[in-house]
Amino acid sequence: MYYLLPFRFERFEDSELLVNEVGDYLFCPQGTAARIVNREISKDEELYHDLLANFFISPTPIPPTIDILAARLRTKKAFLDSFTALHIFVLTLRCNQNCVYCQATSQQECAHGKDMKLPDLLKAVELMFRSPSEHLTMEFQGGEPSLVPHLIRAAIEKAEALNQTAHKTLTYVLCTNSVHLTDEVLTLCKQFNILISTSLDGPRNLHNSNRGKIDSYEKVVAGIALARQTLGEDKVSALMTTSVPALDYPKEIVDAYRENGFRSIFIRALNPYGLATENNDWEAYTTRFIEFYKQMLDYIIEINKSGELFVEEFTRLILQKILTPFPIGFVDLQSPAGIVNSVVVYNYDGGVYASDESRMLAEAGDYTFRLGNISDTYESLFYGEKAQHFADCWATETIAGCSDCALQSYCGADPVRNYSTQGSMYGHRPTSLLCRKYKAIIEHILSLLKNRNEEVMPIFTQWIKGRNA
Amino acid sequence: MLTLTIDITIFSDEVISKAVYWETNQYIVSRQLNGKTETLTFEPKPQCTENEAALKERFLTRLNDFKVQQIVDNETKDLRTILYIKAFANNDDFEAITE
Repeated sequence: MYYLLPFRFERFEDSELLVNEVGDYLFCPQGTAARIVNREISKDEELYHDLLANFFISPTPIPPTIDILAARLRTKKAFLDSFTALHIFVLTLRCNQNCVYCQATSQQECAHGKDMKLPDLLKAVELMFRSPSEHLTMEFQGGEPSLVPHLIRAAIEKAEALNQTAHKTLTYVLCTNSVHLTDEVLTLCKQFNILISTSLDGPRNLHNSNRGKIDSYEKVVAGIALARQTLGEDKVSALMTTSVPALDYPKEIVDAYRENGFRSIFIRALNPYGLATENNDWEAYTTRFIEFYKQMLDYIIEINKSGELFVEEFTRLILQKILTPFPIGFVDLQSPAGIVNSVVVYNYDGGVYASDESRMLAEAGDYTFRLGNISDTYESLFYGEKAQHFADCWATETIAGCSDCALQSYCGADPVRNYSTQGSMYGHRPTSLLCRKYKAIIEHILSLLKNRNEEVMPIFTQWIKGRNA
Repeated sequence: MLTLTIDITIFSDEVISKAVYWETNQYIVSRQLNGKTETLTFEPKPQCTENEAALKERFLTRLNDFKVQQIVDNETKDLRTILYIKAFANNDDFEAITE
């Protein structure tokens, strides 16, 4: 006789995937879950001991190891301990590029009234310091934030001054297209150890076509080189956004990153905000993106097998959730969701938003996720009625379709995306393209672990250890 | 249009609801209680190209799987509560309550 511990399961290829409350998984023959609940697993079977060791069953009603299980559950949700750690400052909506996939509704470089006012900025920094988190990340976004270096400096100097007494660990990130990194910007970066997060779309033709410029690639590559030379190789990272034309070039995009000295890539799908909403067939895009992801990951695995370390960052995040007891800092894959709990946005217009995507919706005239104004109190913004309303549907443990899903531990809730694509924060998983995408990606990674374990595990372990080292 | 009759002494309303939920991307499902059975009617949405046999096989598989999951959930409900209290409640308060 044995007792059950909480777990979920799904049919997986020719077997069954069992995942317990803390994300440990087992592949078993089909019908195993039914055998477990019918008490058909005998102590003589190896499976019995696997289930026992992996917290799927217990010899006693309350497992002797419940404190270990509770500690592991707490660790998985440790991102909640410190509350909001990522604070995004949208310093301006002005930009010097015309990206076809722009999700932020950026404006012309010469536009007026699109920069954050200095008093708002300083008040926003004060709000940030009300967060209980010991680690604060200030991320400067736009538009193109390098167009307003005086605001970057003012924000950082204010933060440094407040930190004289707060003693928090501060990280600064400048999200820039790198086309116009002036001496003033780079001096600022060097002085305050600012990390550069830039974007490279792939090979020259694809990149220039995406940016609506004939010379963007040359400028970005030169900007990246200059930033590395000034700040150091490890201070510059890049994101790629998979525009529709990019879907045809998985290998070429990876090669463009390698040629430009990157040792990793973050495969990121288009999000349905800003100009990207002009894509008129998200169903087809999602299907093609999933295939693109698989092709790209396969190519990256081959590169690693040849001895060259090259990491796909989104896969690494999922692997960290599957293979380690630790949480990840990626706000899109959290439950409770990253909005408010992990991230908040101070917008150029004086508004405070629940996430980056929330302020993108606002540019289309939808203020559903506006928490209030920078001039409001910290309590009303972070614990107010709006935040409480979002909490009704921000946990995968409680919403329909997710609460029974075997992949729940590896996924996250996204009320903003649900709202923007399905018209309700709660969402409808059977028709959710986000659900389809995440499920396909997580299942692909699990399939690699199941079917090509000896081949991929040394590579995946290196990816995880490299980041945790 | 597919019609299925389900014995509700075998499959609970919760289990049937969960299985139906996942079909609502392709079908409009109507439910009719008749004593100890429930009649489900699956009307394909315009984009649906699936045949009835595939739907029937998948739906019955889902029913059985959700029934197994329901047993796990029911049997572990209290333990899950204890686990979450131990993980997240203020430990001193919890110890005081259980003493």
